[in-house]
Amino acid sequence: MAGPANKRQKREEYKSTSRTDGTTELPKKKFYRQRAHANPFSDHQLTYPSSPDAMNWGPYYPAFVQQLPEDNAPTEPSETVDVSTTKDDSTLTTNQIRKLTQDVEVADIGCGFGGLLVALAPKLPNTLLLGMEIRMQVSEYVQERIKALRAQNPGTGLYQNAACLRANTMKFLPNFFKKDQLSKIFLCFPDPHFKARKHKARIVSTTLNSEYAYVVRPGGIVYTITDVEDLHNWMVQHFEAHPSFERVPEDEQEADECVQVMRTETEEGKKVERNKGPKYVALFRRKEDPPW
Amino acid sequence: MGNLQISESAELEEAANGPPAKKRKLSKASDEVEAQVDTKENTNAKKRGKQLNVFESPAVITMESSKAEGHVIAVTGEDKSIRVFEVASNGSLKQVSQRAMPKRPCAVVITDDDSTIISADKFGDVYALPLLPEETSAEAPSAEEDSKTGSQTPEPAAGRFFKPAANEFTIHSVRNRKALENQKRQTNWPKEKTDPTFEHNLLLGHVSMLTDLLLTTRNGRKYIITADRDEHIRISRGMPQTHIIEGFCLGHTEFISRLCIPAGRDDILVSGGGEDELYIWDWLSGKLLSKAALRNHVDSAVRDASPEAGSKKPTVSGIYHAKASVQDSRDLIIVSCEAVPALFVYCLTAQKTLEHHQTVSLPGNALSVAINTVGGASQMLVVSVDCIHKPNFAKERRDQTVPCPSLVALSITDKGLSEVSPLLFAAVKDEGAVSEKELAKLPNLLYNIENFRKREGAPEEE
Ligand SMILES: C[S@@+](CC[C@H](N)C(=O)[O-])C[C@H]1O[C@@H](n2cnc3c(N)ncnc32)[C@H](O)[C@@H]1O
Repeated sequence: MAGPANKRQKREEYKSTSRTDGTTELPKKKFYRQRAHANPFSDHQLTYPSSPDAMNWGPYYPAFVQQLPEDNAPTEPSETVDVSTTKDDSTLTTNQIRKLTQDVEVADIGCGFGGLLVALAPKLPNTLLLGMEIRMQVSEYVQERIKALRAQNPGTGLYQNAACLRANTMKFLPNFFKKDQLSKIFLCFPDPHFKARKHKARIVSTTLNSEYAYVVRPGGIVYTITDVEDLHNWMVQHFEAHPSFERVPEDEQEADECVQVMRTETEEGKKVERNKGPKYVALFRRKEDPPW
Repeated sequence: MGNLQISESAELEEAANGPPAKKRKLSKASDEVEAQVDTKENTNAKKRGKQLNVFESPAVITMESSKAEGHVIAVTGEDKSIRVFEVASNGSLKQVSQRAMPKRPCAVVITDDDSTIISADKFGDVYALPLLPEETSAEAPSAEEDSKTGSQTPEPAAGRFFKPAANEFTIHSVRNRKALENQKRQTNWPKEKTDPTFEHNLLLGHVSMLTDLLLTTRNGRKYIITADRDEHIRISRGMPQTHIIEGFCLGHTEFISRLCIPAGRDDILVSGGGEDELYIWDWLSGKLLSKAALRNHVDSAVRDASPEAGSKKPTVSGIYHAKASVQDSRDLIIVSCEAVPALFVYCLTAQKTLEHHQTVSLPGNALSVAINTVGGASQMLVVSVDCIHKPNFAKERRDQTVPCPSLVALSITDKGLSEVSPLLFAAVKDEGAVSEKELAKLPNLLYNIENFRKREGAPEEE
């Protein structure tokens, strides 16, 4: 029993002493490790907006908050806003929420430790990227990582367009995004859930694909990559069978700059690289809805 | 005793949808009604013989009747089955099909043309199945048949027979290796074993327990509306494009348990669940139009029945629409809550708000409501009442020596609801004693919506 308690204590200690505001030091992963699997069906103690309009994005993208005429002296956003304490927007009413100048358009679902986000953010400087991760410790790590990167690059706007939040995307994607809001979704090295009984826990399924189709606008792309061939086949079969998606041809796929980043920059991708494992990539384009 | 409830709800559901036999029955003498109930009990539970006992055969958790009034469908919970009964001209029922679904159905409806049953289940999936299975349904449908019958959210044919062929050489992370080890420990493949062999098409799915389901038409287009325990109301296109989500009605902060689109006001959706208010939506745009207070009315009804009872969060168990006459411009919305001995009557105004009109107190907790509507005019409302438990309580038994009507009939006029006679329906005779153990199971059967509420401070995973 002493083990875990001790671990938690060390973790808290580290967070309260080393993770002060404005620190440029990157967080240490060892203090944010968490059991590999979180059950996507259980309730957890998730915080999520009741609808996209109720989402207070300001603390996540402080540099993109709409300035009101009365804001004569805007403060340095990255120093005044602490994402971890302002997460709960339940006390704010919809009219108190400060709107962003633009919507989030790219989601990294099951972003893990945030490698993809951090690599993509400078490449898509005018786009807001959001990592979504169900494991609390892991999502906190990514938040700290982004905070430190912002602090390392003051005045450049670098990494201001990336953020991470804790969410169970299998249940609550429509709470965060409106219809057609996203241009890209990344599903990188998702958990394979080999057991047939557990297939409903997979992040790609017949019925979940309808939700991806809902939040992704026509022409938008769902990116998938995995080292597990079966899972690759599963994802291809399920997206190809879904009338809202079509597979992106290989030449187009290879010409997409995000594909290279996806192959090399995620933490899981790096592990596979070290083990010289295969990487299976597939992209799917959101089609227009048919008339009815 | 427990059987009472089941037969009552059977009666009520039929009355609601108005098969002619039942309509006549409503105005008939009580002894005849009793006879009908007995017939049904016998059909419903042939093997039970004289000793009627609800718990020996699976309990009916929800019922629907077909528009042409020829069939009644019932869901039995323990065996996850959808059962179809033929209604004979004398009102008796004969089971003609029983199909065990992959997961327990929570809500079922029949399409307008009576051809198809739509079932929403505990795991969030919605299936369509023909009202009656094809004669040759013993065989498993082949992959081609699957695509021919047009699974509305098409599943890849190969997906059914998916077997992970991963091995140590194709796995590169500790994480995945662990998952594979787990898989190897598993000897069989339950998915294949439990896949039903009859025709059933997956229309759509939530990753959450579904609680209610509506089919509706607006501007000539068909829609499926589904509600879940995680506060979502989803609007999907109707068949055959159910994979397209048109929108959501979002704003609830607790589970949703019931949806109602008032007939003739089909732009409006009323929803309720574990919250202090009812929500009124323009469902197609997903816009919340207004909310109506429920908690204060529930509290005062509870206090009236037992002054010592404290305030409790409402748990909506039914939302119904009635209209006194076609000319009457007022639409009544009638709401029942779990373990509350009252009905709450609201007027749906032209401004699309709900105004509390009256609270009708009942001799016991309201269980289920049926409304007899003919040609757009609602004439009578029948509500079944819990005669076993004390008003306001889901578990505490009442004094059985004091008589309590199990059904209360109310007439619907332009003034609202007024009591006709609690004795129009005589209490169904108690046949055979029900053991204490069996009675103890009743609260779970009658009051299960409260379980949808998320427990506060559920443990956080490390
Ligand atoms: C194998 S990791 C891959 C992480 C990262 N994408 C990468 O490539 O390095 C899969 C991640 O998905 C997360 N995840 C699983 N189910 C999820 C859900 N329903 N919502 C959000 N995240 C989820 C897991 O916690 C895990 O961190």
